[in-house]
Amino acid sequence: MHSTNWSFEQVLSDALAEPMTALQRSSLDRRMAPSLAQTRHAPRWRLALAVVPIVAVASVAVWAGATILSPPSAFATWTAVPTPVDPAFAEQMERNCATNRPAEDLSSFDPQTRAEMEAQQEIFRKLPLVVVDRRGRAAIALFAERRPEGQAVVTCMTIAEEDGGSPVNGGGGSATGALESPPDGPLRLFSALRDQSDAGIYTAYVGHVDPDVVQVTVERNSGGSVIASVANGYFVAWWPGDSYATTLVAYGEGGQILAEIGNNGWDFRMAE
Amino acid sequence: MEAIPKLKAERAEEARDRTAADPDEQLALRARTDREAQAELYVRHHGALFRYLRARCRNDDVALELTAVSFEKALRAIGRYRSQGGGVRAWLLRIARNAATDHERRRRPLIPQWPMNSDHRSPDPGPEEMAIARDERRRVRLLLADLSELQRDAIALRYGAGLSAREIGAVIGKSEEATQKLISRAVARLKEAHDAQH
Repeated sequence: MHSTNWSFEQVLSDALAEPMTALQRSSLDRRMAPSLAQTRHAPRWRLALAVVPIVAVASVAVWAGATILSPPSAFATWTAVPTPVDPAFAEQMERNCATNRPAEDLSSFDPQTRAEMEAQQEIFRKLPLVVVDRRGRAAIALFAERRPEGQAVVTCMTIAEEDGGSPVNGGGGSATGALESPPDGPLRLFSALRDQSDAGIYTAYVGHVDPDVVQVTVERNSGGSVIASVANGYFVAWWPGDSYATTLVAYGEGGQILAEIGNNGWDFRMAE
Repeated sequence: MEAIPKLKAERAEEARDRTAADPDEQLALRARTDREAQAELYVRHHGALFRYLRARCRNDDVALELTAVSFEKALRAIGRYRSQGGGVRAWLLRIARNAATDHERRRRPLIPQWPMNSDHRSPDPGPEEMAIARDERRRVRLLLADLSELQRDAIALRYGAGLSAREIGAVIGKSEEATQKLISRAVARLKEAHDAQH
């Protein structure tokens, strides 16, 4: 069907002037909160915005995350290979993440948007814990579920006491995402995120793997591989600082490569 | 030789008039020292910047991040803002344009760009018609990839940010007439591509 010039301009206008969604607005507000501090309801946390420009990503919402309580030295214990996690640590972490996730102030939104966002938050609150990626004293918990409307993800960082054991302190959610499900494949990257915590900046990659994937390695622009934690069909890898992943490789039981994807090179230095 | 100082004086006077009449200009002045005014600038203009950047980059996440980056840069530079060349919105969009250009220069070939396909699910539950319309809008935005960078900029500024040809000219450094021609040619090209798909 051929359109007239006038009607095509209307098509163009509809497409390009489509307003941002409520969740996008919420993400942007949180991303800007530190810069607009004192004037908006600025939380103490910094948004861990999904930064891999995945075409399939539809929207990203973010929880207010509690500030990590540990001193910067907490990241000094970081290791490229995950630290084993015992069930008690995971359970404590799950509790901490749930307890310390503050309620988001939605009072500035209109009633319809507020209702939509509250419904989204309710979904995020009920996500199951799927992976704990612990490296020394610091760990990231991934809560995730593939839902009919898309992939929902919440990450939460906590820091263990200095003796390295449970109970953990800190916690709170740091990012949530309602992502459209990408096509199936052995290795699917949902998002990369960077967060500024009291312990310093950290960068994390999260995604989905098929059941036959037993290990995922991440190569970084700064050099050095990081072995991801893989469980329940998901993987998480994180490290202190703002270096970014260049390649992610999924291995099978026999060490064979099942999938390999390159990152987009998004290097988090745009703001400079 | 007298013409130059006279021209400068006229421009300064025009700028003063514009500042007095335009709430945005008043806001920009206050934003040099007033956080509330900075927040108000953000509230007024974030939508235009986002829509421009989404059309330019064709990726919502990148557009969100670049919108934030642009405002951060703008707030740092607000003390240097002078009323000229299309006003506050055009100034913000020039910053956004530079941010997008910087991003594209740094960007490496993107491998995990999941293709749009029939399995693509809508993020929001809702009537099927809404999902179809949303996909159609997304498809139209993707058509901009075939335009030159300048054409894409002009279209994104016109239909995304809602600027007039004169304001767009101030952002991209072209006359109003040249900008209008640029837009007309770009629209014709997009229409051809759009019609070929349907």
